[in-house]
Amino acid sequence: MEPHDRVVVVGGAIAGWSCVAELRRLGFRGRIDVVSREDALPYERPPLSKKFLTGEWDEARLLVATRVADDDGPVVLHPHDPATALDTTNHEILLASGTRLPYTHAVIAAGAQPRVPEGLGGEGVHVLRTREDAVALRAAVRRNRRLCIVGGGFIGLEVAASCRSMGAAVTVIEPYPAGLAARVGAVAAQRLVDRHRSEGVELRWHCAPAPVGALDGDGGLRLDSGEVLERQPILAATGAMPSTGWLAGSGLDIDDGVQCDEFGQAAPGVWAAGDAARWYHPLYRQPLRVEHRLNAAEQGRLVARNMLGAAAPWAEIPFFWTDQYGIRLQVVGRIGPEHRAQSLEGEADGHSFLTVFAHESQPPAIVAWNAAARLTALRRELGLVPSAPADTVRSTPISHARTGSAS
Amino acid sequence: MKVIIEGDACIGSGCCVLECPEVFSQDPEEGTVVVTNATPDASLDEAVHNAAAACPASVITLQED
Repeated sequence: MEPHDRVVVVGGAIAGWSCVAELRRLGFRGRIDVVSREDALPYERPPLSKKFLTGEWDEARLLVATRVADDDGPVVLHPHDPATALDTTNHEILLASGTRLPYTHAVIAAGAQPRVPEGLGGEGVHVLRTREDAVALRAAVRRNRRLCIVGGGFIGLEVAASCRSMGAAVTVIEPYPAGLAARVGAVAAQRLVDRHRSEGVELRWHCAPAPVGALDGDGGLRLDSGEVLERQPILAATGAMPSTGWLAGSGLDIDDGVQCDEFGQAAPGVWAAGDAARWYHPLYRQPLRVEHRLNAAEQGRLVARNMLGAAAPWAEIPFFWTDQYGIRLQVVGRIGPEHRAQSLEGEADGHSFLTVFAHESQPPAIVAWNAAARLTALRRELGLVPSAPADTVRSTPISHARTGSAS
Repeated sequence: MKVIIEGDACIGSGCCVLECPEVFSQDPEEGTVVVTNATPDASLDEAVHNAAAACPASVITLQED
């Protein structure tokens, strides 16, 4: 890259700033613009459903250092001025204010936004993506001491646990409860559900809001059964969708995220990272969009390196965690339909256990329940570790698990 | 370079250990980070920077000398 090159990063959160920091660390001193619909400075989102929601943490504890110094080169922020278009012909990003930013390289790190079922859009229905959302939700829970959560995924369950520690009554509505076991395995899923029940959470499994008229009338949420719940604040924790609507007409291939190759590139001079990006993953041999915190920083950094010519393919194994009631549940890898539970360390009903899920040709997955240190050691044993910068694509999949049968 | 852990925000991902086991380890019970060498040799700079950048709770601060 040339010193007069300009990089425009759309998205001022973890993926975007990880890219900025890595560009500076690797010696790029040219102008970088950071465009954001929020305040263009990074903060941690995982605590929004946990310690920030309960009030244990204040806003200052969410903030993340940019790791960028003023004298390393110009970084121009565009807060509360979202990108409205990407012009690949003229190499410009258009902002809501009318500002046009020319780019040599554009990085789409625009993240995701809550996906709310049609019947739930409207006044009084909370979502949880931003700091502001969390502040509003916290106030509503404190005022009402009750919350109805639509969606029993990780956000919904984390908020449920937080509500219980706030002394609020909580109901969770989930139409497809099998989804949880698909993500963390049957044993961990059942233990989580059991724990929620024993903590007094009302779990309404196989229930959904009424498809029409869910919020009509003076009562609370109407379910598909016709039952009307008590009037109370409602949280729609029904998933997120990539923030790519503004890219319609850009000519980029958008399909549940910006389609990229294994280097994070979507088109000449155009890259994407984080929740908005769908990259080809050489180890899973398919495009993947990974909506986890760790991936945002990984892809942001990888885009920076590849923009500077590294040609380093994506080889990281996805990782996510959920903390509920002091339980630390972590998952390395993806449990797909052909993964089979292969080995168990610890007792499935004990304080701590790990399960390895093996696959013939894809990386194994590991579920760790209160077993974080052992998980790291096991990852090193199995080779499920970050690639060093000099690595090339592994030509054979990581499938030999020493804990179990031959690959 | 000095390696500092900010507060108690660590979520036990082990990323730092995987990036730089010479400097980071995890408490065997809690899984939270333990810095075993707060002033690592310059040969570990790249690995330590990667660990700080990778941390999904942003708990690692690096103080340049």
